[in-house]
Amino acid sequence: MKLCVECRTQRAAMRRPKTSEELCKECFYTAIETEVHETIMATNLFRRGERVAIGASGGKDSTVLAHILTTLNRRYDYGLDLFLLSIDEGIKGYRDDSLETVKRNEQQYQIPLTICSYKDLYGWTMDEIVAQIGTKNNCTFCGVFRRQALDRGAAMMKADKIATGHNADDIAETVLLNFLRADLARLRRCPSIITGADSTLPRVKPFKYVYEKEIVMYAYFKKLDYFSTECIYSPFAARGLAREFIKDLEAVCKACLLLEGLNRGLPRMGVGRTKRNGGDDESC
Amino acid sequence: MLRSDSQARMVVVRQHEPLCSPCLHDSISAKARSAIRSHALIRPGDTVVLAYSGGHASALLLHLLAAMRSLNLKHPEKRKVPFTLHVVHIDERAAHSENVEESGPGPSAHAAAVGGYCTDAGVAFHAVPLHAVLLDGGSHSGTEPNTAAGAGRLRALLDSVADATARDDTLRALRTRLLLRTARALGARSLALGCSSTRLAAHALAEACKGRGHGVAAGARLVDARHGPALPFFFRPFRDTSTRELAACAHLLALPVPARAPQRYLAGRRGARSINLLAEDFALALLAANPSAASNVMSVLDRLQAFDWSEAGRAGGVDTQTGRAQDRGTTLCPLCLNPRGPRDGPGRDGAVPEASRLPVPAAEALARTCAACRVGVLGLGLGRNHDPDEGTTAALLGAFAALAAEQGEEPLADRPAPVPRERMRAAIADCLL
Repeated sequence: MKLCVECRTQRAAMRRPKTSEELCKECFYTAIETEVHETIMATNLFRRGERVAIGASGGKDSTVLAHILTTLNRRYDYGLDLFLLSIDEGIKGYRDDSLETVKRNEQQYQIPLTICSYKDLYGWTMDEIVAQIGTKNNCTFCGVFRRQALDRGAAMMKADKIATGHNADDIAETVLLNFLRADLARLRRCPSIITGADSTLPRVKPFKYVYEKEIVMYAYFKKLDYFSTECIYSPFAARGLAREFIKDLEAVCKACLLLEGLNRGLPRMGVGRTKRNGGDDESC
Repeated sequence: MLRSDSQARMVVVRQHEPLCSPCLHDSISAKARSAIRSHALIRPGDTVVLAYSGGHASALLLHLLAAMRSLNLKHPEKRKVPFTLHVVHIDERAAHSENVEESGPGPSAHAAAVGGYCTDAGVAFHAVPLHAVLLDGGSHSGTEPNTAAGAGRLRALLDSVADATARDDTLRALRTRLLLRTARALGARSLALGCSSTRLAAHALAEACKGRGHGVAAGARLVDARHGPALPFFFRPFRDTSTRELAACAHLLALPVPARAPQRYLAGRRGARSINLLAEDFALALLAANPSAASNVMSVLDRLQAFDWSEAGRAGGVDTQTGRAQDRGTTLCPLCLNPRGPRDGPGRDGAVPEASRLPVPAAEALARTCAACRVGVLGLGLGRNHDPDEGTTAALLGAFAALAAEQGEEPLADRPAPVPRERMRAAIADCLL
């Protein structure tokens, strides 16, 4: 039986992808929560008394974000006024059920929920838009409309900031996409943890350094449930290709992984079984 | 040890501990309220239906829920919730009486008494005849046209089932369907059941004997949201309280209960007793010898794994409107409403009438039944000399198929579900130790 390397009293339940440390559940929760807290402190992400809208889709990132932010707000007394903000794009079979998860989050964490719909704001649902324009540029429409819907919803609720659940994997994909599109303006902005800092409604990404896999692990062990129905229009999205590429990159050669571990003071990183590439070394 | 004023009437319902009436009431009430509050089972503005059987438990639950209501929506009184309460009593006299004319169209004397109690408490009372479940339209009024015809149809359906246990189970399934349909028609989000620990333990024993052991844990949980978002979820606030305590409390509070307990099981032919009745008798005999038997059974049930839609405790606040079958693609048996397992496929039971010979709705319902119901309720696969004729099978299945379609239930396989824990686990499998 392996013991947790942190507390050395409980049984280790998992190996953390980020550090390859073998941890028990409690130490894993503490590790994630502490890292997010340190990120928030180091970047001065919030100010006391701010009203923060948590962009909540019912997916894993926003469910875990709602959970962790309410926990940290209470534990470290950030003094934030938190509420959930959901957008209903009007995509049948996609959003309806995940909104139910958000309503449950409202109950569980005792934070109020606001729902803004495309239909109310713009008079169009995404289904109607796609029926009109097809599946070529629909993500553009949805992205622009959602950004504005979030802004409008947050402004309506007198928020000072919007917090979204974008994680490290999301940001990596965005960097790659903007790189491939030669969109330098976006390339400069997108890795920032705060965007629009000078505007009336800045957006923050407290999970910027959190691995997507660790978010799944956190939800799994904490028994938080979430919806992850793929948007029915997502097979047509360019982001899917970027995601595949990044996943393939993670199956990097063993030597690089070991070297990275040494350089980062994490000598155990890369040691031990990795199922991803069957352990075959490829020169890079 | 006496707990309060010795002038008050004392009862001994828990081992050797005498309790006075207020303490007994407070103890039961506190447990139920705590369960309701901590899982947000009744939210402000909700509509709640109480399934009222006429027994002590449902009478006490009515008393408790009525007391929990605040009539002021904007400024609710302390420790009260503004919600609408409907009391639904399923009138099953037509199923029990030999002569359908005996049951008559009007409410029973007991229902009339409870109706008066409800009016005084400002709560709506609905007496719905069981045969209404077989009629089209979904009206929940107690004044059905053609009551005698409806009662006759019900009797014919139940009489077509030879086996005593199967008839009991059919009755139970029809009752459940009618409760759900009526509650939905009233706009209810939840349906309160007065099941005690005693009753749940007996029921679990019976279900285990009938091959439905995989569903016993879920059937005893506080919350049961297996019916999905279109139908209300069940909750059982008295699951940790014994029948004895509930009966004593109802008696001490002088609540309106009938002189005779409501008839729960059908009389079998030639005096045959159903497994359900045997299990109940066994459970009661066991309790007489060992009063902690029911809580022991409940303790085992609590430790058995239920389904995602009944894990109110672990999920913290529960949004039971997202109740789903555990795995995507798992359907519920239309008869017992338990999820089908991998061993429930057709063909395992031997001779089953070819689905093609049944009407389409009945054939579809048959395809979704579990093995326990196929054998236990429909009597299929027992051998050529025992299998019922196709007419009987078609009639039974047709009744349940019609109910499912009428309630607008989609096949559960087509509904998106929360990410199953197996899928989460698969995504992180290489990190688990």
